[in-house]
Amino acid sequence: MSDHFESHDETSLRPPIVERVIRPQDADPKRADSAERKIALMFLLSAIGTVGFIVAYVAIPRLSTTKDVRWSNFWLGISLTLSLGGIAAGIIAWVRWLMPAHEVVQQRHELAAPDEELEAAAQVIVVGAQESGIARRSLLKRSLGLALGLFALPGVLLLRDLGPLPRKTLDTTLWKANSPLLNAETGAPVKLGDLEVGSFTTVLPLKVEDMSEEDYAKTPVLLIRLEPGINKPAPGRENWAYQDHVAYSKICTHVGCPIGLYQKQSHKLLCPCHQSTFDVPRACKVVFGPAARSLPQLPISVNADGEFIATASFDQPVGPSFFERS
Amino acid sequence: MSTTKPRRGEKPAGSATADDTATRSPVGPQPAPKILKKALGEVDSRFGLAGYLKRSMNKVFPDHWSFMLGEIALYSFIVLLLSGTFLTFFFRPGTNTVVYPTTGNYVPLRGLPMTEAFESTLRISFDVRGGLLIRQIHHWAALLFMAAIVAHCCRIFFTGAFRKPREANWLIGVGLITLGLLEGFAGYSLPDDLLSGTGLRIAYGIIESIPIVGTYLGSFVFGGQFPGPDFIPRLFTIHILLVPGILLALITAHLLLMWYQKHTQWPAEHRTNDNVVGAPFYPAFMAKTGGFFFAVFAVTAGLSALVQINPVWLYGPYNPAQVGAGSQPDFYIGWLEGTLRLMPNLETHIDGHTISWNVLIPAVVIPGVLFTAMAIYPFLEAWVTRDYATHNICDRPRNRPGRTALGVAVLTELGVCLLAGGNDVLAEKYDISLYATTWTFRAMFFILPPLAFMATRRICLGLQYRDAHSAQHGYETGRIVMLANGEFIEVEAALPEDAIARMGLEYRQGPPPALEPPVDEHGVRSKSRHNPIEKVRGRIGAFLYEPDVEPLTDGHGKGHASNGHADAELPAAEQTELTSGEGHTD
Repeated sequence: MSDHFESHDETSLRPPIVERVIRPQDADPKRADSAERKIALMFLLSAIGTVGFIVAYVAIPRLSTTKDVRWSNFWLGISLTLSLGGIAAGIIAWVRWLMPAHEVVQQRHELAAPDEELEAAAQVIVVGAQESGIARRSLLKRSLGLALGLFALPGVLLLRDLGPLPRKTLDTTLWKANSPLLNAETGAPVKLGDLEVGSFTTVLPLKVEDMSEEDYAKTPVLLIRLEPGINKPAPGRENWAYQDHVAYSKICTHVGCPIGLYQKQSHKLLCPCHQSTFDVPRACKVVFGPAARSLPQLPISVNADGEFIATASFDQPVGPSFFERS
Repeated sequence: MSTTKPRRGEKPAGSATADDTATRSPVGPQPAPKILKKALGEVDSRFGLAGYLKRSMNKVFPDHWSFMLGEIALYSFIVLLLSGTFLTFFFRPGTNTVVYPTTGNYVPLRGLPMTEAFESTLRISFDVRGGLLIRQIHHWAALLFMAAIVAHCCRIFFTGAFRKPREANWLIGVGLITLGLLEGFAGYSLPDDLLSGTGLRIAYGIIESIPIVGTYLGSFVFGGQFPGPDFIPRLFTIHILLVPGILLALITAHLLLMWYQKHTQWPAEHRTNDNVVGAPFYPAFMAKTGGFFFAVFAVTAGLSALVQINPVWLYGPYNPAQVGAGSQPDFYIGWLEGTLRLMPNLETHIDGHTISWNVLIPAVVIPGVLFTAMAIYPFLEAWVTRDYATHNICDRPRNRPGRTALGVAVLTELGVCLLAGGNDVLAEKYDISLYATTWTFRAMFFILPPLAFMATRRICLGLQYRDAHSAQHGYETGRIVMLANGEFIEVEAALPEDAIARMGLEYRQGPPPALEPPVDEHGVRSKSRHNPIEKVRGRIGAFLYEPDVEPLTDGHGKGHASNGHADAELPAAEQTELTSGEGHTD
């Protein structure tokens, strides 16, 4: 293919045309004028949209109900869409209908320099390096390397106070022996008989407002009342339940979502985040899903007032696994 | 004289004369007004811009709808900057507890304790005029930004536009996707609502799973244990300053490189590896792309007016003891939610330490592998195919069956993961057992990508052969002619040259270069044949790049000369036989 346009003339005003596209409106001024009127209409619609936006902003001046908010959002949004869309449609139609549609051509410049140029550039680098003496003076090279390498350390060091070292904070919770089991919603102690068979509630050792967010995030426990006789305690945990009531950490051992779903018929706890499923009567062992550990169990009993209490703290960290955990 | 083909049915205008200006601009040279020349002179004498300006305005941009995907990403980014700036005027990234005032416009939450972050989000939504609109524009634009980036990345991948000289721009693009993902996650975590708080809880759990440094990293990032009082303010700085700053810098570099290296173009008549055919930057491309900014903005505004997104007031403030059922992250995070759900519960306990494979693999290893693979792919493909040449012509996906099949397989895998991320919603909606969906997706995770790979490759080869066939034989006109001897034949006509050029047949992958014989004629063992690295190279090559059926020699009884090898020459006018074995009619 040796078309004329390949011999591109650098001094020419505009890039040469390779494919001349003549549309009806290019040949017929009447059609072109009609296109112009249509485009002008689009710009006009945009102007109307902008005015509409101002009207909507002023007309719904004080938002006082959610309904106001909804209408305000609707009218502001629709008028803004018209305002922007009119400009968009007008400009794009202008380009497509009235600006020349010819395809023009341009040669790509060779990105790679000729060999001599490459050689010269390499030479400059070498000569410059020689002038600086970096190649000869290895003492300078090494000491600068040391200085720059050390210089990176303060930057890293400054990040140290971003947070405390984790230490043992992940291993412990606020639960300890004789902690009351307080209803997480009301703050009232949960008493024997409060829960119906097959129901559960979230409990805390303190009222929510007396806890830090960090403690609150790992403390919640689920108190579940199972059907009589179905609980099969793990060896060594025979007295951790109290009259078919069992208590397990609510924080999933997968990545720490609170477990919110209890399937009454199958006695399973389901984490809604990734569907790890725990078999409550069998020490909350994982029966499905990505969690690898059973939910930690809180040993409970009932005090003289008939209120539930913890008889000990958790015997293991709650929540997701981490490297330091055995 | 250049070709002057009328394209849309009109006669060429009378200007098809031989004078030079007519071929260059339909307008011809015009005298520039004095004032413009003076103004330009003032600028030029200070910045020396005139030459650059002239070259830039004449810069040719190829036109194709698929080149618009990156523009959508760019313009939604600008919408994000504009709407985001507005939001910062009202948002307070605090974790102090405040009480939603009893005069607040959202009645159900009146008098409830919540963080400043959530309270100010409610204020933006319900008390600031247009606040809800801008919030929704910001969220819709973020979804559009990520969707456009992903689509743009697919376009680049499937057309091979990442090849030399554009590898650096591909790497910048991979960086942009990764940062965009982080930026989106940081953004929707800021309001501190129940959904976003759950997302952050999961993020903390993921960080904790990293061996050795996990708990330290978590503590440093969040300023202590989850949720920590420092995290929302830190996230705010990351979301509005750090990451957008890097994004802006990378996008600028991305555009400058594209500008300097010039855009790729699809194959067609007149288009070669050494030229660019399209519209000049000024005025046509500039106006169109400017108009397109308004179009993208209008779409986000329209969506925000009509379709509610992220109604945080319905989720309520974050409460670590609560979680909403059916919680779903935004789509660009959804596939990671899926990998987390699909992973079996593996943990290793060594010497008092735990390695949580059940979290580490789906949430750290898989995205790490994916983004690393994306980054090295251009170099891997060049190495395997020994193709280190400069490429400015887009590949048609069918002409690179191996690459296309690989891309479709990866997309299939991501699709499986995305669906698995919503398996609870699917299970509920279609009344399927939840565990059955998990097991199905686990099976699909391994079965579907290879199937997609094989099917795509076959389809590509089929399409490729059909192209080659119609380039050689022409197309069936549907006109039946009875010959003198009474035989009926269907007339076939040659395709127009441009249609054949657009097939890009000369840019097909083709079979790999012939290997050295294991032992040459002197009995010397070939070094490269026994080099283990070369063996790997050959194996990947055989797997990915070599069509297993030679094009056009598939024994349909249509003898023709082309051997269908790489750089196959397919003379369109080549006389070939008709099905009947009679003469060829054009």
